[in-house]
Amino acid sequence: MGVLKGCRILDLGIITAGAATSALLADLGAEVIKIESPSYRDPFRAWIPDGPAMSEGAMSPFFRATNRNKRGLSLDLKQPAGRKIMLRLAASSHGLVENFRRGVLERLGLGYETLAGVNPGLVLGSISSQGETGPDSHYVSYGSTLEAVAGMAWHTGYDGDAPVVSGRDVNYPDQVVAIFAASMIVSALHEARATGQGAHLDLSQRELTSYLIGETFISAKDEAAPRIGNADAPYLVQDCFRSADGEWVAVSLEHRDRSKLHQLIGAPEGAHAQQCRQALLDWIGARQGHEAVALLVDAGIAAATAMTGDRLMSETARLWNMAIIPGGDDGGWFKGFPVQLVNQPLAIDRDAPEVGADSRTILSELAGYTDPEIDQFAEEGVIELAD
Amino acid sequence: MLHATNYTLLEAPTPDCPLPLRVAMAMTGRIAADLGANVLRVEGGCGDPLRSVGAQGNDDGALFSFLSARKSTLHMAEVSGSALMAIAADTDAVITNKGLGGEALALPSDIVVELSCFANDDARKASEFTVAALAGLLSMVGDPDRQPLRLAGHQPAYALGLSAFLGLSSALFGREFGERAGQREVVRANLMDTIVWLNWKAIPMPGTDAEPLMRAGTSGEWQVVRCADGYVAIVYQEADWERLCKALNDPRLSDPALALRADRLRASKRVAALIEDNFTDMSRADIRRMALDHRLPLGPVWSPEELFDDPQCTERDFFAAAQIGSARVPGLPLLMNGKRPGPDTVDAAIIGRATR
Repeated sequence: MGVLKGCRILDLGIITAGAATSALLADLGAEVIKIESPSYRDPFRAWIPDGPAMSEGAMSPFFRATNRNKRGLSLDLKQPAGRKIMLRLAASSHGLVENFRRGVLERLGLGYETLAGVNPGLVLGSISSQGETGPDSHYVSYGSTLEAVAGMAWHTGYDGDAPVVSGRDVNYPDQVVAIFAASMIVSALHEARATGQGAHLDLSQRELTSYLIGETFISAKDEAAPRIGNADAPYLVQDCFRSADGEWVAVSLEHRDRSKLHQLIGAPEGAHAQQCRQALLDWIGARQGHEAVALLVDAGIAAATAMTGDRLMSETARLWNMAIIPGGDDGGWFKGFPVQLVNQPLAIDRDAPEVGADSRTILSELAGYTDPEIDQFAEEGVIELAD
Repeated sequence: MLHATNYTLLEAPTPDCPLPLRVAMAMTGRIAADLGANVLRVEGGCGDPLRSVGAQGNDDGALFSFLSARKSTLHMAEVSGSALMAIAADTDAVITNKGLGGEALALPSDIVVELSCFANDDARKASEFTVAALAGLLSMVGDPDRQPLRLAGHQPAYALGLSAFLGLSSALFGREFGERAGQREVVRANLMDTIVWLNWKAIPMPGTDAEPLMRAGTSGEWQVVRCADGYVAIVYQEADWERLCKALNDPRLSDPALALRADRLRASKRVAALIEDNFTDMSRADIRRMALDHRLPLGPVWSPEELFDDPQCTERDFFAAAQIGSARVPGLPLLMNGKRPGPDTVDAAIIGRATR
């Protein structure tokens, strides 16, 4: 039913940036084949959450979240036979997603020119930290590295204090790139279907991170302080205030909200920012967080409790409906979608694959190999078959 | 111009459209325009509220200037449903918002992208900041003993803009090639779902009872420390530690008490102080060179202004193709067959120009 039904995507993506991009394409209906190597798994398979161990042999929930809806093939691309199989699959596919270190795909003999040689209509989506070219193309980065080098951290931080990055548990650029990269690949698939011409997409996470603060480059020479905490135009006051019960209450107060604040908490009419700020500090500090939020919201002022992740499912679930989808065993959940199409909905139809779960089927049905040939590949370590 | 992006998109916020959704809509349109689409902005007689955000004097603010580049503007004395209906009939897609009643206008385009702050009809007043609070993102950034902190710029609204563009590009593909080709499609995205989706790792995983994740700030593994001419983000995974120690060649980091990650986590402030001590005499350029030489994911903190002359940005013409008046802004973060999509030059006069 999905809008990309009929598109076949080869997925060499790993961890978040690459694998989550192809997961979105799979959610949209594409047939996505996750390709791992007998000697190199997606490192996400080994990422187990901190805390008490999960049951032995259980699939990593991080891996499961970013590889649902995919079929699994274990293929050694370093062996000539493995490369040949890959090229045969590429000939009948529409796209390929990868986020290896720059140069790896070429060293495997699978650079864009080679791929285009077997399939001129193929879209190769290369997601990298800093891009295919340039003096920093081999710069090793995680998401927060890119916040620093792209200018985002320069403007993130407490008022007058040091820069701040989103950190290991958010890694903001790694999350957001999947949405952007998937959209660029869909646009290129559209172009390829219309013209017969594929393309090589060079997607730099650093560039995306700078693009997402694009307006700051226009005012880059302003003398304003680089970091101003939670303050933000056009709000007169915007910050988190501590309530009597220790909650952080986020408030965005517009200039025109001052009369509401006057009526609600007695702040002076026409109060300036510092007076409003102090009034909020005192008033929220004397109340329970939920009470303060309810009264501010009823007065027409934007306010909310700063939730932690463990409270989202129980306390805010009515405000969202697709980002996380209940399912699986033991009351578990799947990572869902950031967008939905009403008539051709994104959906989760299958769990993430075990290593090599579909190797035989894929080689037989899509690459045309016979069972004896497939057994021979397995014996030589070119592929792995599921138990 | 790409064949596939040769379409017309109408940005049609309702007069009462919340500011975060205006920003998101404008970001979706900005990406479409960068790819070569014909993007029309509707602007009522009172002007677009985005113009004044961060503005000084009568000039448009930087936010509006960035987001409205490469678009045309349709000035309307009053933005009414009937007027929008007439314009939308000639477009391929419309991006709009759910009104306060929870309904979007039933505009006659093949594709309608509907944005909202929440998935349900909750009509509470919302900002990017308060929705980021509700979605748990604020609690993940900053110091544990200080208030939660927002990321720079308009990340919640921009991320919603990216989500909406993914829906739009998918619906355009489906209109041409899908099983329901030629039929109407409605795309829905909201601020809350987008941020929860981005912040998915903060929700405790099934099968575990680990402590909920919270902002680690100055007690975290990744910290920002001072160097000779500014700051650098210390970013590394377990596999990078040995290379970091080798690069710094500081015997204090070889202390057996810091050999294991669990030890380093407990001593995170000490580790950061030791690394900072090594960076005292190093500039950010020195640290960049060291990171390249030793394959370390260290992040020198550059300002936007410094990036105009950054060798990586310069080599890839990241700013060159996006002239807006005298200012420079990033181009679309995509090279397609080595070229950045979009017109070779941007007609600066198009910004804010009325086309009737």
